[in-house]
Amino acid sequence: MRKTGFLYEKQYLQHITSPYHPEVPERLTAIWKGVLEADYADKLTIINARPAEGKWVQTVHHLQYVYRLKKACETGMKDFDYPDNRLCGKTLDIAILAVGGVLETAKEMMDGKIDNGFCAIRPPGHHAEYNRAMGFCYLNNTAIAARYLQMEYRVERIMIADIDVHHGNGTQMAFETDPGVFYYSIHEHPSFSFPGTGREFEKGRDNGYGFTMNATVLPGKGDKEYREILEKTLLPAADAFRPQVVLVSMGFDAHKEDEMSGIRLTTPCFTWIMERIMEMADRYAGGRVLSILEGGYEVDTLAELSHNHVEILMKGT
Amino acid sequence: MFVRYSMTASVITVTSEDSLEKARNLMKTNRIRHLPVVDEINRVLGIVTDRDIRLAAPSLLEISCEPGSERKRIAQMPVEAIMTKDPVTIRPEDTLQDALILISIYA
Repeated sequence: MRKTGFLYEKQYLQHITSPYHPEVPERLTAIWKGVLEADYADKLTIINARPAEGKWVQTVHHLQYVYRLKKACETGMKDFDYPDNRLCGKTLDIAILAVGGVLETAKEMMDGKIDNGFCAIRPPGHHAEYNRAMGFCYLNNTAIAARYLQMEYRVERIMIADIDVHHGNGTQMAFETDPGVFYYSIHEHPSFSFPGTGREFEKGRDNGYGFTMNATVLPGKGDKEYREILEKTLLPAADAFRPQVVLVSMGFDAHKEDEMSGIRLTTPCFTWIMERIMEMADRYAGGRVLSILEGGYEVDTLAELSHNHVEILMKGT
Repeated sequence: MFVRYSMTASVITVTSEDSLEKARNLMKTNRIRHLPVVDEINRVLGIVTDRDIRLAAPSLLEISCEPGSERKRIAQMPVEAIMTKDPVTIRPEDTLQDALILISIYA
């Protein structure tokens, strides 16, 4: 049994979107139900969040962007950059708390107090770019965590496995010239899905060419295609890159019950994917896996999916 | 939406050993301007265009001991000598949007 951290922070509920918005606080309460009411809950290391220091946010986002977001929250704007990025007065504070929680969990893992961890956070982050909010994302939690690991712990090879059904355009952008961070994303083909990036010919640039890999799946496809593609792309990429830490941008929205995409993964396939990632982390990264919540909007399935997800982190492979 | 529904499926090709003369004649006969260069199992190795052949042709001001000899020599050169190697390709299962983006990147 591994020592698994679970980032639990009630304040994450205070980022209010709207009742008809997909990214609602009920997503987290469903995850808490799945994880904290499980048989294994007493064996988890509960981690609480504290706000991230501005210097870490600025490793990925322009300071002016953060000020712009602050002003938007303070002046009562209802959305930011795009209409689907709903705001409330506390959005920025909660986004900073989400980053802070992820960094706190990363710290616990790097200091050896936990083996791995799951950060149940909102708002999500992988669409947030240097100077632009997108797709319900304001601060790029995963990208900031990778920068934190590079700068604070001198980690030289970090792999980000983005399992969300949408391409993490913000994360890719943050590292497309950086050979120290391998960004891998499997997602619904961008001709059919938000945000329209993540084509297979996007492979990074300059020194980072070859350290970005995008695998696309057509709508209507499911477990079989995901398994084949992951075996053919992610696992060999990890063998070549030999990551010292694995970050997972964990979206549950490729599930067949989730209406956010046409991908139709079953619950066992999510288990299979996570087991492969754990094997990969065991082989190269001393089992260090930090899983960070991105999407997943079908509240009824989130409890079971997150329950299984944390169970795999605890059991290992 | 998918490339497979818009592409020309059976294309005229040359091999890398074929001569420029053969390539030029194929273009002229079939009224085309581009020829994929393929190996024995039809893997794309390169592409040659009418412009590549024009650029390879000797200048009209070329002074040679024997009139036309340079033109003859070039006509017998293999396609490999002037083709663009490892061209950007797309698969039938990719989308037209993928193709458009690639064209805009490399144009």
